[in-house]
Amino acid sequence: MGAGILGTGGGGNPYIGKLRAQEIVRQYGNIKVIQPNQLKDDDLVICLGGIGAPTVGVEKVRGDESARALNELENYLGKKATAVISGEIGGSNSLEPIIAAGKNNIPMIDGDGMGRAFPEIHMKTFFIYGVSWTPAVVCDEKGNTALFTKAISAHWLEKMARAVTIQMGCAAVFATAPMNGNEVKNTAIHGTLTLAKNVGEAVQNAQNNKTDPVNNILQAYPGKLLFEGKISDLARSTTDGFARGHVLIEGSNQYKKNTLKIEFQNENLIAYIDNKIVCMVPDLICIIDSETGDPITTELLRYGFRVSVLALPAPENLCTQKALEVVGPKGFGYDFEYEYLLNIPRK
Amino acid sequence: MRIGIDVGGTNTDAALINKNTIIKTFKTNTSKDITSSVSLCIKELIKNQEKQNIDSIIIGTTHLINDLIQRKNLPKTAIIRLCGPSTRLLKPLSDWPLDIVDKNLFSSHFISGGLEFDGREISSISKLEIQKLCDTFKSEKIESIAVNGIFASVNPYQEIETKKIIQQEMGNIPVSLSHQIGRIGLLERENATILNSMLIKSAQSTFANLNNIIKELKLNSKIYITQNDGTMSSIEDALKYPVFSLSSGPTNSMRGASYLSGIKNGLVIDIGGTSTDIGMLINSFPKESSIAVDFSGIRTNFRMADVLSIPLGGGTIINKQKPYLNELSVGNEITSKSLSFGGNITTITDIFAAESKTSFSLPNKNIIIEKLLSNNVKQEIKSKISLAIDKMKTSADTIDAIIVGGGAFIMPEDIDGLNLIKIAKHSEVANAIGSALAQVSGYSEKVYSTHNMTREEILNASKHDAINNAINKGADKRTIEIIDVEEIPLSYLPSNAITVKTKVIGNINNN
Repeated sequence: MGAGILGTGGGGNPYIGKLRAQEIVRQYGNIKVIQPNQLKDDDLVICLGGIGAPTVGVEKVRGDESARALNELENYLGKKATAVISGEIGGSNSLEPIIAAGKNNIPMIDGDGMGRAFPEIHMKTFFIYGVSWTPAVVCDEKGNTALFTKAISAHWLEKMARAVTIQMGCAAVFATAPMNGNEVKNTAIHGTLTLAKNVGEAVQNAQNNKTDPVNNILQAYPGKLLFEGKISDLARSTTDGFARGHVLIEGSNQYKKNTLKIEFQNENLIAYIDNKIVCMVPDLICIIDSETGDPITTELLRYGFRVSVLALPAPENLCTQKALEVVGPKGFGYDFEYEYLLNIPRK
Repeated sequence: MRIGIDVGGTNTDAALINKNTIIKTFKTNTSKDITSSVSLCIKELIKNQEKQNIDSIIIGTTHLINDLIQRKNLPKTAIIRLCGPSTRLLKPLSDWPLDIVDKNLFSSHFISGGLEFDGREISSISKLEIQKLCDTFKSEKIESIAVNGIFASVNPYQEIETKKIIQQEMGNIPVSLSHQIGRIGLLERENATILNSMLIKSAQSTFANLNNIIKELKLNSKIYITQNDGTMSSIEDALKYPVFSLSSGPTNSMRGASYLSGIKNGLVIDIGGTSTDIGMLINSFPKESSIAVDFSGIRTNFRMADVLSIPLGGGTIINKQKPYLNELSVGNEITSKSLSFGGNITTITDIFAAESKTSFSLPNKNIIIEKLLSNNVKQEIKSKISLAIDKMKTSADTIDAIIVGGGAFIMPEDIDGLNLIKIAKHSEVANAIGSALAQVSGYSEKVYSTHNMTREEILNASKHDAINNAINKGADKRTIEIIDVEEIPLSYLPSNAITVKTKVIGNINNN
């Protein structure tokens, strides 16, 4: 559930991911989680994630392909990985490395490459801060492997990997960004697995004790309640495989006279209150069910939902000049610069 | 003329309808075998009627779900997933409650087969492999078999061929095929298919004797069973697909309310003793749920009415301080425990009884409730119902809301955006009337590749598929209309694949 909230509307449904992770833990026992700072310089860490269409992923449910993807990349590198890391903590992708970690009996890193969900591979902090995206492999469940030894940009890797994924049947797994311990320390967003767990537990506690989920979440991830209200309008279209559109939320309680608008492209990007921008990507804009605290993903948005909108400050390394070129408003086609609008200290 | 019958846990209700007039209604206790109460209802309703005028008898029942909840009448079931190397990490029954899985009822197998989203084969099925499995099933004394192929809804030929081979080996053993049961979503569809296989025995004992009633009473009518989505099926189909008749109650109640009020589009608010159920009518049919439906702890993706149930009704217990509305209700015991009936628990009914606003008279007429408490309770009722209504409404426009149920008197009159409609007559047999109105539906959901087909060709293919489905189920071709078409592109990919869902309905072909 925590991964769902950090998905800021995107990242897909973590339900099947949860079942798969539970099955791996049942078969191989608990998975060890280590901090990036525990890594040694000569460690080898590999980033794993799912690639394809979520609609296919619920029908052709992934198996243990990520363990094979890991092994294929290890074979090419001639070296065993000492740990695996998630590329994206938001949504269903966050749990993919657990499969490989369980099967290979290696730890998973408490951290990831996004601190939330973003739509494309090149938006990972690893690549923004200079880690090489190749060699990379894409594996399907049938036993096919595609190895990419060279791509002129992470964006090109993304394009080639997707072309292969379609042939493989639209639900595959990739392994990329082989890193040493130092690179993980310097480029990953630290502590996000724990963060997702804490946020999820915060919501569950609120549900069990019938207390306010918003307060609980904000204690687990300090941020700001941006708005409360009811979804009053929804416009969406799918172009080039992305769900784009906006949602309008009519305020209630102290926001009674206001309207909030959120523009999304799979993930929530920009929030406006009465046409004034109040939060922008890469800061997290999370829509949750006001009553239960359950995350509401873009595909589940519906007229009449009573929602609370949270703004959570993005981790520091998504907000440097270098990162903002990729994951700031300009990276999503807006013509304005990023500005930090939440008057609370960034953690 | 048609007879509609609703067999509930306690009562069996029935109504005789001629075209658009309700001729007669009847209510009796539900017998242990549903056959005798159904038979009694029919006898009562056809008194003084010409037998040949009764075309059809349509029955809705909650019997199957009771067997499932009590875990009785369940056969030894085999599950075959046509998947080749794919999806093997999550075995069948992965998310089922352990008390069923541990019953030693199941035999699960992965074998060759399965398709990609665009219809290419993951692998072909193997006759030899299936024949060998059948030998195992014989020694395990398997009574019912569920077959689930990856993307079988794109093209069902592998499932169909598998069934053929099984029945060559094992005779007439019931085989449930996933493409006939559920939609995209491997585990949920598999769960629904397994449930179907498990209910086959129960359906036999519930439905099989109904045809005898017709013979006994020398009627020429045909018997139908209502389904979860407001449509109906023949007894033969209900015996093959019992899962579709697992929960037709909420839908029948909404369809009945639509008929009795004449409203085709709007909300139905059914306020009972313990809960309030809210659903949305679109063209006289309930809007369907888009999320997973949980049955006795089993996650499925049935086509079912999207009904929101909140714990609020005439029997809801009142607390002394905020929140004034308890989650609990006195339920059936209202007639002994509430103030109005001489008990000592304050319920919502008592609040309204004190102001003589209930729809019926009560034994204890001298109840005094503080005005302040009464106002606070009413305010909470209003905010609870408003919240639930907002969740179910699909737009901000003012819409009609049909109020039904024994607790209808608690409905606040002043909720924004609602035009309240009360039903004057026959609302106590709304479910039976809903049964009588059931139609035949057809459905298609497939993923199409836009490489070799235009959008128009794809939509036409989907329509044809749905119409053929309806005709196969007994619909009169001339009356079939398309009620819903939905296109969903596959996200995160350059769009060369699209899911199309089409739903059609029509009247029964009486010839």
